[in-house]
Formats: sequence, C-alpha cells, structure tokens
Amino acid sequence: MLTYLARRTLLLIPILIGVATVVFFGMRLSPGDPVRMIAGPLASEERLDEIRHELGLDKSIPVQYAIWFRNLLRGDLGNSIASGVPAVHLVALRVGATLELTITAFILSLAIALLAGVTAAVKQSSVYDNVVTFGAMFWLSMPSFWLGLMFMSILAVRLPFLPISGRGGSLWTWEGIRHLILPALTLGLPSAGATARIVRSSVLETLSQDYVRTARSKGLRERAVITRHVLKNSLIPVITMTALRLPWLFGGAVIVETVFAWPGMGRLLTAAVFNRDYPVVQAAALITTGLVVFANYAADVLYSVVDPRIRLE
Amino acid sequence: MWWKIWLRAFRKNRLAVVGAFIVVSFLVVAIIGPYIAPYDPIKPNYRALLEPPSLQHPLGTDRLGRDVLSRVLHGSRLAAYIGFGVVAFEGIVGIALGIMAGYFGGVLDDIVMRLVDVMLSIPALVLAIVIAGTSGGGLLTIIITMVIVSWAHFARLMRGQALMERQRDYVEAARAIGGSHTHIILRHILPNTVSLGIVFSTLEIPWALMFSAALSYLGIGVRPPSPEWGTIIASGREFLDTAWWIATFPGLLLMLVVLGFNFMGDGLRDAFDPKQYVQHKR
Repeated sequence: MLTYLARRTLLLIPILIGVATVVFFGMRLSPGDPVRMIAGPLASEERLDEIRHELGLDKSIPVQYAIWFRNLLRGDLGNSIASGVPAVHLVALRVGATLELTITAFILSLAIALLAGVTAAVKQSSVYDNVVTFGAMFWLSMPSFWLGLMFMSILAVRLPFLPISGRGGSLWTWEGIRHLILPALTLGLPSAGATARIVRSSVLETLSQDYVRTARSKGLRERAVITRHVLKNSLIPVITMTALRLPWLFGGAVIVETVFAWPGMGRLLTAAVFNRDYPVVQAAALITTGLVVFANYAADVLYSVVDPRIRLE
Repeated sequence: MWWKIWLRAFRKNRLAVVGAFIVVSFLVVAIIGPYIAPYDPIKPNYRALLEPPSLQHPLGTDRLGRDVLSRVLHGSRLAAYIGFGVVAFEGIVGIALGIMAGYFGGVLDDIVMRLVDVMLSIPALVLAIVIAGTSGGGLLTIIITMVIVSWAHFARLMRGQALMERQRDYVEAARAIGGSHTHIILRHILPNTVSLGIVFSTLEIPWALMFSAALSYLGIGVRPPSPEWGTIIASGREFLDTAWWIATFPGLLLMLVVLGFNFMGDGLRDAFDPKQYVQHKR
C-alpha cells in the first residue's frame, strides 16, 4: 500500500511540471503577437519593444522558460497588467467560489447518477430503465452554456423565483444557497447524465458476476445482495471514470461561471483573456489545472483503497 | 460479410437509427443550408430588429435584424467543418502516436504516455482558452487548438489496441516471415482498429460541436460575424426576456445534433461489440 502511495505521490511532480510546461508553451506558441495586442494597433515600434522587454519576451525561449520556472517555484506568477496586483492574489481570492460551485455540482451529479444508475440497472429493460437511459443521454448532450441560459430565462427571468446571477454569500446562508442552485444544476446535470450511464453499465456488469448468483442462491434477500455485494464492486469503474471527468468538470465550471457571473477562477480567466492580462490568464490556468491534478491524485488514492488489487500491481 | 451482421444489429436499436437519421439530416442541411437560406446571414437589416418568429422569419431576427434561421443554416456548415475537421486531424495525430507507442513500446511508449497523462490532466477548456484566447481566434486557430487539446484521447485508446494486437499470433507469424514493422502496422494492426476508431470518432464529433460552440459563446471561437451557433447564442444572452428566440433555437438545434451523434455512436458501439454474437444480452 505504501509503495503504491509513494509511487503515486512521486508521479505528481513530473505531471505538475509537465502541465505547467504545456501552459507555458500554450501561451507562447499561439499565432498572433500578444505584445501587439496589449499595446494596441497604433503603438510604435519602440513601445512594442518596451513592453516586450518588460514582459521578458525579448529573451530566447529556453531562457524565458528557465526564468518563468524559477519564478513559478517562488510562487511569483507576475502581476496583473490591468491592476498591478500579483496575479496569484487575484486567483486566490476566487478559488473558494470555484470550489464551492464545483464541489456542489459534483456531489449533486454523483447523487443523482448513483440513484438513477443503480435503480435502472436493477430493473433492467423496464420502462423505468428506458426512461433513465434516454434521460441520461438527453442530459449529457445538453450544452451547459445553453442550459444555463435556459434555466436563467425560465426560472430567473420569467418567474422571479431564483436570482439571475452572482454569488449570494456564504454557503451556509439562504441567499448563498439560492444563488448556488442554478449554477450547480447547470454544471451538475449534464455530468449526472454521463455518470449515470457509467453507473448503470457497471452495476449491470456486476450483477452478471458469479458471486452475485452465489449470494442469491445462498438465500440472501435481494436488498442485501445489492447493498453488500453489488454496490461496492460496481463503484470501482465509477471512481475511475469520475476521476477522468474531473478536468471536464473544472472546464465546465469556467463556462457556468461566465454564464451566471459567478465570481470564480473561470470567470477571471475569461475576463483576463479579453483584457489581454496574460499573467492573470496564466495564473488562473495553472492553479485550476493544479487543482485538477490533485483531485486526480486523490481519486487514485481512493481507488487503491477501494480496490485492493490495485495496490499489488 | 461482416458488415451485414453489424447493420442488422444497428437496425435493431431504434434510438441508434433515429440518431443516424438526425446525423444525415444535419449533413444534408450543412451541405445545402447556405443555398436555401432565405436571407443574408451577415448583413444587418435595420428595419427588422428583434422580430419574433413569424412567417417571414421562422426563427425571428436578432439585434441587427438578421434572420436567425439563415444564420443557423450557414452556421450548420461551419459546425460541420469544425466537427469533422477537428475529429479527422485529432484522429490522425492520436492514432499515429497511439499505435506507434503501443506497438514499439519502450522509450517511445513512455514519452507518449507521459505526454498523454499530462494532456488529459489539463481541463480542455482552460487550455483552449489559453491558446486560442491569446491568439485572437479564427477558424484555423480553433481547429488547431481543439486538436491539441483532444488528440490524447485517441492516442490512449489506440495505444491500448496496439498493445493488444501486438501480442497476437498473426503478428508474430508476420514477423517470422520477415514482415517489416511498417508492413505489420499498416496491413495488420491498423485494419483491426478501424471499428474502434469509427465508434470513437462518432462519439468525438458531438464533443467537438459542443466545444467549439462553447468557445464561440465565450467569444474566443470563430470571429463574429461568422454565424457559429455558439456566437448566435451569445448574442441572444442580453435579450433573454425580450427576444428569447435568438438564444433558444440555435441551442435546441445544437442539442438535437449532439443527441443524434450520441445515439448513433452508442448504437455503433453496441453493434460492433463482438460479445453480441456470442451470448444473449441480459
């Protein structure tokens, strides 16, 4: 167990480095000149050179990378071009809001998916199963930004039942929850659809296993068969798949935050891109990705706890 | 003929057939759409601003008086370009790297797989925003960005396949009679991955459609006034209460097309599944 953990933890480092490097190159290899975009179309050559020097873009790429990496290790991701505030601070202010949204959506989606998936698999081929299967496909095909707009339109604009946008305060207040409902649903429902399908097929797979037949022939009540044998064993592929979907969840959060003006990192990212505030873009991208890497790591550890076979690999 | 078995299985799945019908309709619309669109999708018409759906404008008009239906029809061709283009390139890169990694193993495999792990850890949208956002958008940029962000999925899949196929007897036999690596890959391994590739591609296309629409919605996609569906939806955002049709219809259509591809892809996957012919499905 410990060797697996140690190995997995060590793996974190090259992945984090790799991820940061990809972001670094992603920002620099894009066609188009960022300096030109910061300075505007009317700037003179000298102004362009000035900015280039300020941002350190006049050095060669390997040198830039080395400097950037050293700063990264120090936690210095540059200052926002717009406000001069260290980019890391701006992002740190928003982390909480994004986590609030993402975790709530995640829990929601998992709850719905487990409930729907397990019950549908148990009643395979029934009307209920068909409805759930279709529903899952339906929800996972839904573009989240459009869903958000439709929710907004129907539930917030037409019937002034829920607030249109923004965050209403801490999670433990009624206002906070009111503002969280629509964004969390928008982020969580498509994910629930995808996860439900995985849960259902996993449970179906487990149900056809020999040990389930054994349990039943021992005379165990169906309810006990399910809770004691089927559930735990079906969960393993679900955890794997859920971990694979985590990047998607954070990506979706970017869209949902933009649609609902939710003050998270995603919204900061899109706003910074429009303002050509590249240090902030970089910081937001890096920290978001860092969170995903850690979440994946946590999922892997959880996976090894749930499935002892993995630890022996 | 193997494809007759497949066709029969596919036809049995009603949802898959509906999905195929939707996909074919989408393709037809994408091809003839711009020719049958009643109005110009880009030119403003200041005398018909924000008009609700009517006989002249079945889907209404937007804030520049442009007919939403015409914009959507033109947008379907754009969507088809992006959808198929991205998946094609993503497939080429992913399949090539994946098969080579799986077949040759060793250092090449390690490098490619590390790269794949890294790429899969980064939220696609975040990376796409970083790349496309700092370069100003545009059709080619979007396609390249999306390929960069998604090739890893194909690669991982194909590597697994190549690993499996590499160990089979016929590969060993081919090597024994002196077949070169290139020959084995092209004539033996690749054809056996075709069905998997088709299924996966069919399921990647809806992702590509939704992703490009999302990028356009955020303003980082194809540049306005291109009638990409995401852009149209974004333009309707401020009119949710006064001109709901602008944001609603393109989204509905997008969802329908995505649903169609998903149903069809699911059906394809079940149809290609060899377990179908061996035992009854429970």
